[in-house]
Amino acid sequence: MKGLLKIYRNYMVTALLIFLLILVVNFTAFMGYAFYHLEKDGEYSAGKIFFRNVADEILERDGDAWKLSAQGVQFVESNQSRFLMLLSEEGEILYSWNLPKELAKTYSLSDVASFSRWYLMDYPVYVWSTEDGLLVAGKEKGSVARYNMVYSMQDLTTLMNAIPLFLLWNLFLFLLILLFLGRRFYRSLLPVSNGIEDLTRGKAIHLNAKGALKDLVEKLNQTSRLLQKQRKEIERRDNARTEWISGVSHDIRTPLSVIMGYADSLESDESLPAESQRQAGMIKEQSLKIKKLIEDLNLTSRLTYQMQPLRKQTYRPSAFIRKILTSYLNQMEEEKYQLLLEIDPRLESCQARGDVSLLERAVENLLNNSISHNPQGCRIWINATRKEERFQIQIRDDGVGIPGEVYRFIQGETNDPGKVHVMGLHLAKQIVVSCGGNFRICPDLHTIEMELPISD
Amino acid sequence: MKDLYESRILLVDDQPELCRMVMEILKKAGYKNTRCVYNLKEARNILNTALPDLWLLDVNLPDGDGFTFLQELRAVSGCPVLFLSARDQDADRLLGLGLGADDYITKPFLPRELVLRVANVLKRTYQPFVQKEEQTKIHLGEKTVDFAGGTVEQAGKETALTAKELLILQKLADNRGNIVTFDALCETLWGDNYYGYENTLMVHIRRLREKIEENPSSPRYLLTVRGLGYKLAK
Repeated sequence: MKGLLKIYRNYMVTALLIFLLILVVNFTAFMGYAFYHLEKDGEYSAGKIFFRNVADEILERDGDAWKLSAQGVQFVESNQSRFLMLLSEEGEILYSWNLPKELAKTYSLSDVASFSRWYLMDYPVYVWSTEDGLLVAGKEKGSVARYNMVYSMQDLTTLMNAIPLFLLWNLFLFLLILLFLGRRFYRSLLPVSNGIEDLTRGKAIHLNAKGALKDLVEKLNQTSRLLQKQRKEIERRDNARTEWISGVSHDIRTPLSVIMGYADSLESDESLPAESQRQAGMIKEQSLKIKKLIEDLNLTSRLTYQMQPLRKQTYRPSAFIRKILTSYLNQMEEEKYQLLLEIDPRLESCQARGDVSLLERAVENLLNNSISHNPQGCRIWINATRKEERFQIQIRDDGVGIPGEVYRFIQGETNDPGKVHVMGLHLAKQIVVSCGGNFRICPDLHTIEMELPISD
Repeated sequence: MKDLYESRILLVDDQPELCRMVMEILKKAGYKNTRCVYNLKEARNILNTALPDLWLLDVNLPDGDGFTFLQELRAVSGCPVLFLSARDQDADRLLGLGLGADDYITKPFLPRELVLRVANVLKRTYQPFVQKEEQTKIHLGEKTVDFAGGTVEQAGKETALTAKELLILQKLADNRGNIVTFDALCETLWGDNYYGYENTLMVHIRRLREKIEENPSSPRYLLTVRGLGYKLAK
């Protein structure tokens, strides 16, 4: 991949640069150190600077003549001077010490100019202009070269001593560079990492980056665009499907009205034989089932694709359950079903928020299941209890129970409910979940539990 | 209008089969003056000529929607409107009712439901002009409760009922034979924030029993349904 190669190349170049930098720094440090020590050592022996500093005090007046001062003697010794002389403005020797014969002469301006550059007839000399005249200090011929050798050795030992210090400095420098580069790398990667995190959460991202990360980031942006496009596509398809289901269920309603209407009037038509009336009644019953099914289908598809607006309101769970149960008891003509209610007294004062008409539908679906699957009759227990910040509605019957495959389907263990239809149960679960609750079938296959949050 | 069954009912729906069926249902139920139109254009013509006593309006029509038409209608007349629609979303129902419809029936419906709702709307709207026929008395065995006078009468002896007792009894009588929950009763008596009044309700019920039951400790009419509420037996 191009982006990665680029990062690899950059990495190599950076490493090389660091290497060179360290090299340069070390070299400079070494040179600086060596030079500094050379200069410093020279001050005590032959250094020009030292000479300049003491030049004014080397000689002192002795009547008309001059003589070496105490400092002068010290200088001469420490500097290992071969000779000293003081020249007047005219180039005549005013004072001399230990002067070689060949140098005893009057110096012209050109002579002075020439020896001031270090050598006077091969004697290395230092020159300084004092108040009294030009002071010239000379050393033994060839001494400077020999002398340098000596000091190099000294420097070497000093350098040897300094090696651990150097290493320490190198380490420090290394760490500093590493820290700096690491931080820079971290900071340049931070948006990329955040971007990936956003991607996993399904958000659209658009990152900007320069340099090595540019290609990588561009790929990420591309991925995000692709994901967004796919999401829109899926959304569009989901919407189309929901609209289609809603359209179909809408269109079925009118013909179904006609079927139900006529079936109902046939059922109550006294002029028909009883058998025909019964059959018309069956048509009506089945039409009502179709009605319920298309309503459930429509609602379940809307809930699946988040197209059902929830109209949440505050309600009292206890009153909610009593109301549902009462409407069942009021409508139920048959004695073979027994509804047994128990409400936790601690639940009485609680309030909750949710879409009451949907929740009613969920509970009704469960009760309807118990009733319709147990035509021989059964007892149904409804227990409502408070569980800290939630309340639980438990619906249990002693009928035939819930088929195992339905249990596995609702618990999400399989995607295939088998041959039985589970719309009512599935819808109940969707409603409870959409109101922030939990829905489960207990393993005894006779009990369904739903838990919903309490709002106070 | 002498009789509610004389009411002129107009159905606006684009499905001829449904129109025919609805008219048959209404005719069977005794409503003689029903007719139908299949689109809004015809409906508007009627709006400009003779207004019916009740509109049965579909929402999805070939040349517009019933909601818009209702607004036009409401601009000229306050006569009752009942939606008969295949749209069953809460939002649609609320929109229809919010626009001033008197009821909203979703298709498919049972004929009896339609007839009952039509009768209710007509009664609500036109009853005062026809006749006042409110149930002001109920009989509980030997005793008679007179809601207008707020009394219980037995063999010429009258016992007065308190306002709360009267409300409870009225609510139960309205749903006679059916269970009415504590919650519904308390709400009737004390409004929305009725929590905590359950015990007070029990006290009222006990006093009520003393007045209307032969034997208050084993009531014959005002029955307790354990855990749910009360019921006024038929």
